[in-house]
Amino acid sequence: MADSQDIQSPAERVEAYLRRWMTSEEEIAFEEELRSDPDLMQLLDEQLVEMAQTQFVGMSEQAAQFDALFDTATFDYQQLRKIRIRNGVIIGGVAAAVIAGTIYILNPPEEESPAPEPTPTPEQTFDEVYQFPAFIPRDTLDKADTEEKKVLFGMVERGDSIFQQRNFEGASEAYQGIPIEFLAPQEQGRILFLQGISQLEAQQFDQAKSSLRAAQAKGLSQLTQQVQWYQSLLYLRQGQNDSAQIIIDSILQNNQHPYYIQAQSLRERLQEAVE
Amino acid sequence: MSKRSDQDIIASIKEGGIAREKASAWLYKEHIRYSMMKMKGVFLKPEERRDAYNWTLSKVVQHVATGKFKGGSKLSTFIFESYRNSCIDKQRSNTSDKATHFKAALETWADHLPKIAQERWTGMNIEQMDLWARTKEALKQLGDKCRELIWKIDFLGYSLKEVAEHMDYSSAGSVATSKNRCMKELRGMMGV
Repeated sequence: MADSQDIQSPAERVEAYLRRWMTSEEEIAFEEELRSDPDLMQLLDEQLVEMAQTQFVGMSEQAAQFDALFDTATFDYQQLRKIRIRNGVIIGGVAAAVIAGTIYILNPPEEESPAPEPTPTPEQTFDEVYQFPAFIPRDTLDKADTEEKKVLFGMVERGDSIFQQRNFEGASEAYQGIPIEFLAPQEQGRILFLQGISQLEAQQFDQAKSSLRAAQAKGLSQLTQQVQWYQSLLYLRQGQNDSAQIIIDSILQNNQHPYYIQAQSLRERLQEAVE
Repeated sequence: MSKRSDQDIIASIKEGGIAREKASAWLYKEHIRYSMMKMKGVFLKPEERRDAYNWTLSKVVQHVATGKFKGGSKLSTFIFESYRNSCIDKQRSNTSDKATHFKAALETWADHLPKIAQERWTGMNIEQMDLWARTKEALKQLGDKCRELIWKIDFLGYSLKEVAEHMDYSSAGSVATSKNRCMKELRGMMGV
């Protein structure tokens, strides 16, 4: 804002008035002056027209700048849309494969001569990448040497057992009921992680995000890398490919990462989807 | 492209300068799908929809910057409604020029003038002054650098110092001199 003390010429005073740099008292005083001074009013009219023109020149230039952005923005949007559709198809395929697999396990067909091995489809490759995490067993060094611990460990074992049966909604509920603050930090991290995976599988995405974040906050190095991988899968499931890509890129910066190969495969798959 | 909240975008646009420029570009890209949508009762060619979208977004930025957008609805709703209205106006006016955009731009600007300035502006017969046609001609002749200067200072609200940094001027003073020269050129073209 210009300092009205420094304004000297009538043109500068008119500009300060039009741009509303004056205080309301200064505005009132200046308006009195305008009414009694035709030359000053004439100057105001001229500057008004000039300001109107600059407003239009500015707006017109902004529209031109946007126009230059149009092709890139349209292209980006279309690519993003393609990726979303592709991922929708992939996730749908994965879901269908899981359902079909479950039905197959529950109702095994009559033994037949083995069919020739089919060529893996992109969906199957993705399915391989998106394999369910290996269950992390409880650290048995922590002995159930008190009654409280026995009860607590009973709750943990119940959660683990439901999880291993792949009843993810049940596991999520069972884990949430455990007062984890009474457990060792490593065990707290493990439970939060398994709780996050259960919620991810049960499609409780927001809760999964909080649980995985809480697991990561425990700062356990081995767990952090696991959490990182499942966070990227969570983003993928939510269609937030950009966020997933950032995590995948960060996994790929460490070739010792336990999910390095899966991340590579996933990145290739995402790139294929973009192309 | 990371998601930005309405509050963040509004604050950035109100801040002016580079923050306004970035927020405007983000907003433009974020809602580009509107320009590709088919809307009931709107029969415009793709290039006309593109033009309507570009001007809509310029107008939205102007509304937010001047405080005319009060935040009564989500920004996306406001953009969509403004874009639809622009398309309908364009269809009704059946003109290929930007006269309707020009008038819309000036309405928002005039709303924020002080009392006497508003009275004088209302009293001027803009149609009779042929201001639109003269400005359109002047715009064609004005150099790229001048247009950019006017855009950055008067539309985006860059300070002279910021313009000096972004456009490789030696100082804020030389920016002011160049801007004055551009305004003189513009006045000359308008026959003022």
